[in-house]
This record gives sequence, structure tokens and C-alpha cells, in this order.
Amino acid sequence: MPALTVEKQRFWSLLGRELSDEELSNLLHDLGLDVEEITGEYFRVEYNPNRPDFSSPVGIARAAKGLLGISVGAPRYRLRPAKTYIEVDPRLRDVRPYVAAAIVRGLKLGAEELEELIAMQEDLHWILGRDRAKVAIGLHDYSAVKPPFKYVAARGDEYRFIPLGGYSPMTLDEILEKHEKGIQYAHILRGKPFYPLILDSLNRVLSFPPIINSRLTELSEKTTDIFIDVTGTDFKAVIHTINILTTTMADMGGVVERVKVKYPDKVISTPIYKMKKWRLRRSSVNETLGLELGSIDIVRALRRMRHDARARGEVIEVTPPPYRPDIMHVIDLIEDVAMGIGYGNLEPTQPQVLMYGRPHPDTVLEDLVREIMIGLGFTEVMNFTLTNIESEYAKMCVQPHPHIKLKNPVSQEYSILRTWILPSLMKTLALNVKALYPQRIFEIGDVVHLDQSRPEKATRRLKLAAASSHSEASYSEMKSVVEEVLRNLGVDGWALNPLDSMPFIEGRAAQITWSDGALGFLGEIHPEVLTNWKLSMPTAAMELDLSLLAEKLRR
Amino acid sequence: MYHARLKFRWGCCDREGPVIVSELVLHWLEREVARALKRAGRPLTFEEAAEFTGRDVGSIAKAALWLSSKGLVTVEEYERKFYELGDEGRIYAEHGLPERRLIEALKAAGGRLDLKILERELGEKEFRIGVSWARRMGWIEIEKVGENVYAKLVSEPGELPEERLLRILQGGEREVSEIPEDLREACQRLASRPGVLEVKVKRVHVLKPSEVLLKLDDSLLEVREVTRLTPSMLVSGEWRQVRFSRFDVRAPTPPVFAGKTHPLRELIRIVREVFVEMGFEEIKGPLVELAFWNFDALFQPQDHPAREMHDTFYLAEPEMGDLPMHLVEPVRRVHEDGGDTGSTGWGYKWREDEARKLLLRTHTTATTIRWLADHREPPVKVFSVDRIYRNERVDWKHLAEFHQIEGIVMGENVSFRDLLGLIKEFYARLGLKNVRFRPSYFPYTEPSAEAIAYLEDKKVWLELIGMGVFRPEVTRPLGVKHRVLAWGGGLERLALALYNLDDIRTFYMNDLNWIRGIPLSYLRRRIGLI
Repeated sequence: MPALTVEKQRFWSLLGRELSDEELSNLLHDLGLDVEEITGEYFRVEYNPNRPDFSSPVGIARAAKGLLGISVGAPRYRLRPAKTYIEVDPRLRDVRPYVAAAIVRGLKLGAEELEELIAMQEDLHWILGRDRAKVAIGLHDYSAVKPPFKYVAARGDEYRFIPLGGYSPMTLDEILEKHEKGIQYAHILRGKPFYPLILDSLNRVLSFPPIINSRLTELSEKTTDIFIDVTGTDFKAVIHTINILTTTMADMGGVVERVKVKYPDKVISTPIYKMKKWRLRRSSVNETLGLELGSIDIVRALRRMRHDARARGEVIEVTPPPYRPDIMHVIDLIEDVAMGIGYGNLEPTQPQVLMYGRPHPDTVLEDLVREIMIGLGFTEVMNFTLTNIESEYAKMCVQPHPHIKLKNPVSQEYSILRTWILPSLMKTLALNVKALYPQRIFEIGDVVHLDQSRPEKATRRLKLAAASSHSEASYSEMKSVVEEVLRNLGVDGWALNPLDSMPFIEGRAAQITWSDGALGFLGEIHPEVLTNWKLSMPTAAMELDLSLLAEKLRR
Repeated sequence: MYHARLKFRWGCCDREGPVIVSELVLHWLEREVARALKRAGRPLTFEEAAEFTGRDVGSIAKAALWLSSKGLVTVEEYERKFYELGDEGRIYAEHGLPERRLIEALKAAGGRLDLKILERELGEKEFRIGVSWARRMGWIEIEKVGENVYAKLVSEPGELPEERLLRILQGGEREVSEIPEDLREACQRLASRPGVLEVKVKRVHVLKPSEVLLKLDDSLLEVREVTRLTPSMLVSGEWRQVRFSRFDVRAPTPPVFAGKTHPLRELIRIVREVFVEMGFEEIKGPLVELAFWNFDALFQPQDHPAREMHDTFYLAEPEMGDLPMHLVEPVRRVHEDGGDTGSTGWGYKWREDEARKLLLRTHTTATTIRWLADHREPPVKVFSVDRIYRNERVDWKHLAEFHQIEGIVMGENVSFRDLLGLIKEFYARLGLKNVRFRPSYFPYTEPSAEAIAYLEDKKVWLELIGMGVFRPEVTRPLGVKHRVLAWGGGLERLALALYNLDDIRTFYMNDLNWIRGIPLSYLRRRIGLI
């Protein structure tokens, strides 16, 4: 979740009021923010990605004023008509087709506001921009450029400019190769026939989206007028982004002027503050929330959440403010009604859904097996199903079984899924060489096998494995255990066949079969395997396929 | 031997027939008592025998009974009479007889004293008894002079037999027969004075060895001490002839460890019990899952950050699965333009290839949504407590594989407030009574909330779970027409708080010392189930 640190003084001046820490904490929680820290000077919150408008103190204060009743309903933003334009190169259609632009005039940016804007830009890149792939933002000192603008498709060697953080002019190719940001974001443009570029009327580069801006237009505390470009692959996201940016700057005291975007086939002006009007039925609010609100209550709650809302009998017409791209369905407004009322004011009730509970049959079997094993003096352990080739097969001296391989594990220690449990028990014994012996352990857990017959090409199976490790551990001890487990599960007519293979000592292992199914195996662990795990205690072990057992028992 | 009355006798005389020594089997206790009698060469009381053998009187009585039934001893029960001082007698023994004190007072006054003064000095009771006895014995005379009455010393007696007797009894009770002949009369006299002398009757048992016993071979009376009781001793009855060596009952013993459930499993079982008690049915689903069920069916757009590689384990082999074809179109439409759900949709081009990717499920919601697709009509109340995966580096706070608690309820008229009520009840049953709700966000629920619980002992709020009502964009494409309440959260985080641990890896280290060290009762006590 993105995070934001806000100076208390800054927040009080935006609110026009001071709050105690408790009031502040409650307020922030009621807004759906996760409060990380409140100190004497500042507070730190995390916000959910559905509310990119919370990416600045201004955005949080704007919402807070609604809940505090300082100002309710959607804020009124005036848009000045467009005086200039940006022309879109048709060749960008398959590169980065959309652009929106705006000019914000009359800003007085202190260091604080400047910092807020930069931080907000970074967060929006991430939340709405999917790390710039979907949306990228350029903020420019308007006084440094000469309109109108062009959004052009360029070749890698066609233009040169000094990028932010650079000192000499570089070509686009050079930037992608050498500049820190170029290296970081080059993947977004990889394989594109052209690169997107924003130029002014003198063909000077403003930005090379989504990579880097030109040093020419770098913002400073002297900047009063800002030119914003937002480019991307998703028109809606581009508009949402410029709406959030410009409304925030308007709340900082700027005057927003639209810019015409001339696409080859149409001309629009951005930002676009006109929002879809939603029709909310009173009954659906009440049924969803379990309340009996009047239309007026609903209107009041929505206005506290800074929506424009008007009751028309049973229907409430709602227009969200232009910085709320998250409203996709009336259900989103119903949540806002609940938030406007305050979750703390909703009295919990009990659902009238009568059903009788029961555990899964596998759980019942699992608990039964667990009871038998505990009765036999074994202690349960729990291991991961994630493992690696080394532990799962190499250390056990066996050839790998067919298994699930992961594409992108962060750690090679967890790169496959286990197909048997015995290696997990060996690992547990290896970690416990200092604990008192005898050690008798068992695990009931899942393994995953490949299974072409299933849509997900794999199937989980429940297995039981047990190991007994002490100076007298032997095949016969484990055979007695297997017999007792199977007797208590009511399994008759199973058989043992000699099994001469690793990880067991030749002549001291057996396969357990039952009505021509391989139910499992048992044996004395081979000294070579014990040595691989750095164990110096004789160990006998067994493993049973509980899924197979369950299938046969149910039949 | 004793000047006491024989009350009962049992033993040799009750037996019929002679004692056959070769058939004798003696318990080790019998051997000890017999040996003591032989060695003493005379009858012994139970108390004496107890002292000789170092056993208690009860054991001696037991042995006496067995020995007598075998004709080796006669047990005689006697009554013995004892004199001991009564309350009054103890006062006399200490301060003198009242008559003696009277004489002493007269002597001190020169042989003659006004009775009124005497009464004041001796006290009313002593005075009365003293005057009466002294007059009877002729030691004093009473003179009347005018209004005054005087006592006058006539003769001064030497030590009285009563006084000797008192002195003897002051040292403790004496058997009646032990009192010297010349004091017998004094005894009678003192006994006639109330509260001075008391007679006590005691029963005494005397073991008298028979001739057979005295002639028994010593080897027959030896006592063997053994450490272990063996099955063969039990079969042969040899255990009766041996004595078991005493153990130091406080000596350290090697530890044994109960086989037991894993501490995390305990919590899983309790959570499961709570769900079942609340009327939920348990479901299970695949660990390897289609992106379709894990994300797409839950309205998570295909470019959502959660779907990226660094959060989700994708499979290299096998890589792609098969989509449930009947759901592909409804899900595609809801993503692209909302379909007929009333939603705007995400407004992008949905791709089947992305949905066909195989991954390790990142939440059990993938399983609940599968269940809903097959169970579209209410009521539905199901839960799972099962494994999920996150492609995260493992450290003290993070695991790549852990458990999620999840439940859903679908009903005709369920509401968001019902969800709050369910959660409150659910966690109250896990011992968390102070639960609050605050707004939150999940791509597949709306309204959404987060539940937090106050931990009394740690004085902190713990984030428990995320919850909400499934969005219409989730339910409608599956053909589900009713609201579905859903919640889910990590099990291990709750377990950390309940077990007071800091490092989440502890649960999967399987340190046997740790598992053995946690009382099995811990969690149920902590939660308040016991």
C-alpha cells in the first residue's frame, strides 16, 4: 500500500482546524486510511490503491473536511477554456496512443508543495500508471516553453535533449542505454517502432514519456504556471490521472486551464471534469447495508463523502467529484454511504441464514489419523509444501519425481512443490539433532502431483509420513506402527512387498499395497541419506497416501 | 506377665491339626515379626514388636493375624487399668492437698486463726474441704470465743500416703498393679474425692510365640529385599516373601514427551470448530490454481499489481491450464465493459492467455469462488482454513506459504451489518471480544472493511482480517443473484499474537524443544475455552 507522511501544521492549515491525536486517528481511520504513526509533528498513513486522490495532503484534507462537516458535497472546480493545443502524431497509435494536458496558473509553490507534487506524481505513476507502463506524468515549468505542443513519434536518434539528472544533450537511444531512469523503464518501450516525445512549438523536448523530462522545464519554487502532460495506453486512466493532478493543484490555489488534444480523428479538451451521474435506489442501499435510511440520510452521507447527491423520491442521483475514478458501480457509492455514516455507527446484526456445519471428510480422516499417531507417541510437525530439488530428491538419493516447477521464485530454496513428505521429516530431524531422543515425529500434509486430466493440471494429495529416530530405531518398529494405523483405519487385506531402493537400506524396506493400489512405503533410512542430512541416529520411516485411502474407504 | 485382665485369646488354640513346617509360606512381614519374637525370647506387645522391626503397629497387627492363623503365635488381648490425675488432682499435686495447705496456714499464724481469715486465704472451696478433712483426721479443733470462731492446730501430720501417691502420679499415669501395697488405701481415699484420681482402661495385645515358632529355622525367617517386581514373582507368589526396596520418590526421572499436535494445528482445529459450531461447512480446493479463479473471476484486472510476478508464484511447468469455458464470456465482458452488471468495467481488452496461467493460489477466495460458481442458490455457508502462497522473501514477518482463514455466507437477505455481526461472534469465540471495524479496500468486495481486535495483555490493536460483500461484478457473471458476505485473513498472524511470538517462522521450524515445551492446554486456556 502506498504511504504518505503529512506535517500536522500543514494539515491543520488545509483543514482550518486543529484536532487532538485521538480525533485525528479516528478521522483518518474513518476515511479508510491505515494510520502507521502519529507524532507531535507529523502523521504517517497508508492508503488503498482505489483512492489515488489520497496521494497528497490536499486530497486527504479535502475528504476529511467532508466527514468533519466543514464542507460537504463535491468541490466546485472552475476550468478555463483552452487557449492552446497539443497535436497527436497518428503513428503513436501502437506506441502510446493517449495524451492529456493542462495548464495550471498562479501557483505559489513553497518547498513543501513542490515536494508534495513530486511525491504525488510518483505514487500516481505506481497506482494508476502501473509503474509508468499504463500512465506517465510530466510536470513542466510553463514559462520555459512556447505553445502549442506536439506529441510525436520519434526515432531513437532523431532528437537530443538534456534529461533531468543529466548535464549534456543525449539522444533517446542514449538515454535508454545510459540514463538511470532510461535503464529502469526501457522495457516499456522495447520493441516499439517509435518513441513518444512531447515538443513545444520550437521543437524543444519537454518530455520523453514514460522515461524522463527535459531539464529545460524543471520545476522550482519560482514556478507559478505548470504545464502537465499525461500520456498512456489507457484513455480512462490518463483522464483520471490528469483530473486528480489538476484538482489537487486547484486546491493548492492554482487556476486550471484546459488544453485541446488534437487526435487525427477528433479533438477533445482536457482535463474532463464531467462525471457520470449515478442513480442509486434507496432500497438497494438499505438492503445492502441492513439499514432503514431515508433518502435524505443517504444524501447527507454521500455529501459528507464529497459527492453531489440529490434525492428524487426513491432514487438518489449522485455525481462523484472528478478525482474519484474508483466509482465503477453503484455498489461503490453504497460503501460511501456506509463510510459517510461511519462504520462505528453500524450496529452488528446476525444473518438469518440457517445451515448446519460440518468439517470436510478429509479433515475428519486427517484428525482420525492424527489421533492414532499421537496415541502411538508421535509428535506432529508442519512443513512447507514449497521446497527445492536438492532437499526433495538429491539428499534423499532418488531421481526426481515429476513435479511442479515455479517460474519466478524469489528464493531458490522454494522453487518446486513437494511430491512426498519424507524429505520434510528428514529436514525436521536435521534441525533437531540437539533435542532429546527418541524423536518420533509425523506430518499429515499436502503434496502436489502433476495431473493432465484436471483443468489446473495438478492435484493435491493428502499424505501421512512418520519417522522414528533413536538408537534402536528399526524396520520392525515402523512396521508395527503401519499395522496399527491401518488396523485402526479399518483397512483389511493390505500387503507388503520388498522394496530395494533408496532412501532405504536394501532388504529393510517395503511397499504397502492395497487392492492393487500403491498405498505407501516404509523402511529403515539408508546411512548415506542420514549422512546427507547430517543425522547420526538410526531412523525408520513410513509414508501413506491418505487421499488414495480415503477414495478406497469411501467406495 | 501382666497384672491385667485377659479379654481375648486367639491363635494356636483355634487351629485344628498340627503346624506343618514344610508347608509354611511366610510373608516378609510375618518373617520380620517372627524373627523379632525369636530374638526376644519372650512375648512382645504389638508396640514392642513395632519397635523391634521398625514397622508400624498396623503392620504388626496384620502379621500377627496371619501368624496366628498359621499356629505360630497366640495373640492375647488384655485390659490394663491405669491411674492418672484428674483436673483437681493435678492442682493438688502442684499446690498440696487442701488440708495440708490449711495446716500450713495455721502454722504460719502461730497455731490459731480466725476461720473467716482462713477462708479468705484459702478460698471458699479449699477452705471447706481442708477444714472437713483436718477435723476428720483430728489435726485441728474448732474453738468459739464470743462472736469469733477459731481453728486451732492440734497435731501436725507427717507426709501422708495420699501425698506420696500424688507425687508418683505427677510423673505420669501408673498401672494399677504397679502402685505399692501401702498406698492402696490412699488410692481408695483419693479416688473417692471428686476429680482427683481417674481410672483409664487400655487394651494391650501380646504376641506369644508358639513352640513351633521358637524352633523354626532362621533361614525360613530371612527377608529378601528386591528392587523390581517381576511377572514371575507374581505368578509364583514369591512377592509375598520379599520386601521391596524403598525408592527416593523425589529422585529425578528421565523425561517422557507426550505425542501431540503441532501448536499451529491446535489453532487450526479451534478455528475449524468455531466455524462448524456457527453452521459453516468446510470446503477444500486446489493449491495449484488457474489465474482465472485466483484473479479474473474476482474482478481483478489483468494489469493489477497483485498479479505481478513479485507477488504471485507462477508455474513454469505446467504453465497453462484449461478455462471453464462457460464462464469465459461473462467474465470477459465484466472486465471489459461491465457486461450487464451495471458496472463500467475496467475498460481494457481481457485476454484468455492471462487467465489460463497456472499459479499457486494467493488466497483461498479462489476456492470459495469456485464453490459459488457451482452453488448459485442460497443458502451457502462455507469456510476453509487452508494453505496459500505469496512470492515473498521469508523473514521474521513474512512467509512464502501460510494459512488463510476464510468464510462466506450467501443468503436471501444478508447485509453488511450481518457481516459485522458474524465477525464479532466469530472472534468472540476465539477469545477476542473487543473487535472494531474500519473501511478498507479489496478489488472484489464492496463495501469492504477491516476488522481489528484489541489484545488486552499486549495493549495493542491487531489487524485480523479483510471482509466485505462480493461485488456484483464478481457474483453476477457466475450466475449468483444474491449478496455474498465474505471474509478472510492470515492464520499465522493470529497465532503469533496468541502464542506471544515475534518470529512467524517459528511455526515451521518444528523445534521439538519448542513443541514439547508448550502445554497442550495453552491455547484453549488463552482463548478461554477451558
